[in-house]
Amino acid sequence: MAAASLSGLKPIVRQHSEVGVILIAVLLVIFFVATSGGRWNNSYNISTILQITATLGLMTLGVALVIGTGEIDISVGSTFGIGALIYLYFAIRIDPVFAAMLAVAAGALIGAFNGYLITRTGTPSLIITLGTLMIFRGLAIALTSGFAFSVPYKERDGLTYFILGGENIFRAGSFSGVNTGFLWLIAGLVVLTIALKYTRFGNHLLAVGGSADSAHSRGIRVDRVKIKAFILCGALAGLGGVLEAGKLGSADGSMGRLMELQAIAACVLGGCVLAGGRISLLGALIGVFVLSSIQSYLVVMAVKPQWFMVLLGVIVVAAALGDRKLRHWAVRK
Amino acid sequence: MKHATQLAAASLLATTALAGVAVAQEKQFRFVMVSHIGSNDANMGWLTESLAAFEEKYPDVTTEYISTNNYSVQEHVRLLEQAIATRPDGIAVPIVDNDAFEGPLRRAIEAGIPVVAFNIPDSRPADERIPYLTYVGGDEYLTGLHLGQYALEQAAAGNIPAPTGIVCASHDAAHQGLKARCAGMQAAMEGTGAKFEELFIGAEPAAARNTLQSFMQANPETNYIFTVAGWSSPWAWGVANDMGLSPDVDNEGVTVMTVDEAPVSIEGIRAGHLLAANSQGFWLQGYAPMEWLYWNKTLGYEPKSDILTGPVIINADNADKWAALVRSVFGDQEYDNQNTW
Repeated sequence: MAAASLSGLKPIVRQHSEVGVILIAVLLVIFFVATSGGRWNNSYNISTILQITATLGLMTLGVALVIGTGEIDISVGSTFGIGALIYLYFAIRIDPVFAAMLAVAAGALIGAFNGYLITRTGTPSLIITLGTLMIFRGLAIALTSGFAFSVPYKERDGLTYFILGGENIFRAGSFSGVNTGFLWLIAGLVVLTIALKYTRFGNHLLAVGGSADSAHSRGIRVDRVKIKAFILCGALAGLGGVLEAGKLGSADGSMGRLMELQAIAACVLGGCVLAGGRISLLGALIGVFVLSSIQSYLVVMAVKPQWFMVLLGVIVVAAALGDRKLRHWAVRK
Repeated sequence: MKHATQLAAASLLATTALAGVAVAQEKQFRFVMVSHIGSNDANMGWLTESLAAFEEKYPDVTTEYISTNNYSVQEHVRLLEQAIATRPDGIAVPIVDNDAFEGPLRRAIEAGIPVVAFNIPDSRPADERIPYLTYVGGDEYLTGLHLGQYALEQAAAGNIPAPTGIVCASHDAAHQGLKARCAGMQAAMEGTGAKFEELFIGAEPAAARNTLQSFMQANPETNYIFTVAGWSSPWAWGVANDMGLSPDVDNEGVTVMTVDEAPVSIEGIRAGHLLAANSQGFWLQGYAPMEWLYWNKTLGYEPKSDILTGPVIINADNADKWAALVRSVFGDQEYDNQNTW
């Protein structure tokens, strides 16, 4: 009886690639609540997790789009850092709104640069974006010369700073609220989900990832679709950098370092197929939440730093294996 | 699926066990040190050993040490926020970046959590800085300045050559504390006519050696190398030695200086490879913040000035004493493990 009812779930798992990561997230949350003695499940910590989810999540949405086309962008961590630096540099000198727009535009430009090089030269995206990862990280370090770009705490009290990740909203009693960056993430998710499911661009993007040759034969301009995906990816990484800088009020040359790996890990956990053609934006975001939650749990439980990376890696591998097994089970007759 | 589940369960159980957090244990206070020094830095041993000694003396206190091996200000603030979320009775934290740390620390202080800055203070004037109880630590600028002044004394005495070119080799271009060490050294060397350069070498040994070697080839007048981490001093000495630049301490060739009371620094001095290093009183920087947090919680005491724990010059005259001290803290095996000469 139980086996039969479980079998009934197979079509749902098959159709929705994010089911695995949702299951993992639910199990982890139950475990964290049960074992942390309230250290993990308190409003301050949940608020922190959601803030991290917001900025990493925006970057992840962009990476998922690129993965959807069958390419990869590992330069997003550096783009994120450049976005943060541009925002902070111009926010205090000119205007925060102008600075944010400039940072997002710079991210889009980096994305366009990646996309153009990849499509024009036919060089694998891994190689090109590895190069730009280093170029823009080096540029970030060179620009800051060892110091941070910052906006002093006392000057970050205007409405613009508030909207751009500088404060929490929905505070109530002991609830710490949610960083405004999270609202940007929700907006990004809604817009991109609609674009992916109901617009020609979304249709083309997944078609290109499924089979570029086939898409080309149907009249889809493959290169143009890929460049658009890279531009969106860069712009979202730039926006993520703006929101992180808005929260911290400071950024140095290391801002965003290694976040690209987390974004890719979140996409894979969330059911995005690296070969392209199938992605789940919601799944990728839950993947981000899972990674942020695991990191947070290890910190609040004071895991020794020498074990932190090992355990995080083991848990991510275990989660990915569990998800893979679940999908195999779902396709088995 | 079964294996994956078992693996996940084992990992999470191990996590809980490794956390060493006895939720059921009845401790009156819990103090958290949110550090920028990860387990890939030998100096973490000073802090964790001093926390263990503190717990022995004050059995009603639990201390926790939180850090990362992939340091960035962004990551540090995240760790700090998560540490605050656990509502500790006190926090010790280095103020690596005033603007990034001010928001979370002010919120923690407003929530009644006392904060002590250690290792790196808020660099602003007292009336503008984050309202922490006190700062316990060394002075990064004085570290470079005093080491530079010591080198000039030795040069004047004819023990080492006079400086013609100095390179300050740093593994983290974004670390303001390391920049201050270089600035101190630069200040000490002003007036000597020697060219001063700051060089980012990174923390990866092969890349660091390549970078330094290229620099030395392009700048043959350089005869003082100042590494701002103890663990990078053997790399600098090795590069100079491979290039035939006579890097041991004598009155010819290159002279290498470094920092910290780490085994690698002390043994480098004892072997005649390094001129000097410094101690900024790392052990005290772990212990004293905890003690002030404890006294603040139990007695309401607040120190009225910063508490400087260094720099103290370590040289050939006192290196044996320092070796004995460090061995007593780290143990012989750990001391020998960390001596990479």
